[in-house]
Amino acid sequence: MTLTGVPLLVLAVAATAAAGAATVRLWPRRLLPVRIAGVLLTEALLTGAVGLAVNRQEGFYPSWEALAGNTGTVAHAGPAAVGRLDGRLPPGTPVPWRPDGWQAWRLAGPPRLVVPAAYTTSPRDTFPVVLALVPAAAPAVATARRLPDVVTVVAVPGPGTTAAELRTLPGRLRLDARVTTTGWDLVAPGRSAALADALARTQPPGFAAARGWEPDQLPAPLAPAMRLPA
Amino acid sequence: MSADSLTPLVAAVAAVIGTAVLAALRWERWRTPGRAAVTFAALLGLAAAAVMQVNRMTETYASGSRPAAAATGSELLTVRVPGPASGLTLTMYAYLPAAYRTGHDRYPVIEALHGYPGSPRTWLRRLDVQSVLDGEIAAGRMAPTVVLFPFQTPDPLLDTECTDLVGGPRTETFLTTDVPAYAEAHWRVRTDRAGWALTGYSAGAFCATDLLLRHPTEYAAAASLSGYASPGIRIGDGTENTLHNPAWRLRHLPPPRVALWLGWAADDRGTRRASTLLARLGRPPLTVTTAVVARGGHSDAVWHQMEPVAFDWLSAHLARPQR
Repeated sequence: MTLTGVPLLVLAVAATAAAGAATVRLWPRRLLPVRIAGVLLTEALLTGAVGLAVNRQEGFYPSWEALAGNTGTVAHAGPAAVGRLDGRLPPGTPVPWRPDGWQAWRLAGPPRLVVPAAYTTSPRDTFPVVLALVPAAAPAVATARRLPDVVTVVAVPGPGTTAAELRTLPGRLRLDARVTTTGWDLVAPGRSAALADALARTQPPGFAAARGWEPDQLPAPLAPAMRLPA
Repeated sequence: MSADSLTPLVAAVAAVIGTAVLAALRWERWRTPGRAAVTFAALLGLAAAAVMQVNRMTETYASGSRPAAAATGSELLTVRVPGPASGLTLTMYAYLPAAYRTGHDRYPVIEALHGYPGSPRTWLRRLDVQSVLDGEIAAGRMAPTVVLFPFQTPDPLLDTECTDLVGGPRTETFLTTDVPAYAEAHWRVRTDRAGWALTGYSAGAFCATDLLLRHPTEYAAAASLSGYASPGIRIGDGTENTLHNPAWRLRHLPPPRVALWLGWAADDRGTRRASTLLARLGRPPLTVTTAVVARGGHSDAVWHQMEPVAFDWLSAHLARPQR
């Protein structure tokens, strides 16, 4: 019998009426316990019936499980970051990054990771990301070395690189480096702009195509550098 | 003795039992007026007990007891916020993260709004918000953030839906002008749009969505926990159907560049319909993220489940603490 169904409501009303009628009928016998029990039972059933009617109307608790506080949902709070490459990422130095399946991205070569000085000095922080999709790696790496508090991924798209294939890159990077889930800027000049826009659409909010490298042109790395548990 | 403590509820239940005993004992000795009086008293006691229990569940009326202060860790403060812009002076609770004691940063801010009937004490007591925030921040899933819990009405029985009621309290002005001004004057918080967000459950979820869409230059994101697409009250100028109606705004006005999180329980018909409507109407540059709990209706259990996820998401869409 459902909590919000008509049968239960009818049963509650009928039980209230029956308890009330029985109490009235037995009242002249002057049996004290029967009188007290009859009155209290009628009152309790009346309260229950009103409660059922209100709940049926408003839908606060649509089921017995809901009434018991059972949401049927289990929350898994995973560790905030892993950072498997932590010991192998010297600040300011471009490191070729070859995670499993990187060839599927069809880039011109393995992406380069550049981490800021704070990456080593704050080993419990996670960092926002600039993903640079550029025609040549060297100038972008030089710029990336000057960016504070941001992990930069410099990637040179090949002729076959598509947003659908690059979609797995953020997840891969989160395993290898301490980076935030959102707060990613995609710096993509010229022909890569459309690729960056398409990639941003495959990701959750917090991925944005940036207009340039300057801090005021980077809309997304708003995500805080976060502290991991000790 | 406060209205939401156990004592008045126990007293009301005792009155119900007492009147039943009295009626059983003395019925034959009384004439009609006495019998009518004891019947009326019994019904009054029953109604009082029911009201007391509903009040305990919604935290609508309560004592002014302040949250206990601790020497370390996060703090929960109680302040009176004078509102020069709105003309309202209302109580507000404020969560300062543990890092606030020792750091020098300016922190991002989330305004957390309550349902109707209700009060911010639901966040504090039934949703254990201080523990939840402490846990998410300590786990690194959320940046240290100042979270504000303002009252949304000067009269617990007046549903404002966070609007400026025509001829009534100007709650929207209080929440979007007076509360930020007070926070920026009293605490180290970010003062830019990228550092401010909204959340709320039930009516407070409507408030968060409505205020985000109406004030996109002041807030960057909002998380709605079981919210509605319209205020469900009369504001006095008909704007409940237009400018204070998120569904109407998304249909008829250019969407603002903000991020919206919509969560609901699959078996909560009203807010499921409203939230899916809003999610369908949202289009760039507005971004919408949805989250669904399998069941639980329109209840504390659902909001308890969604609360850490919503705070984490908000934190990911807020600017970092400013060094």
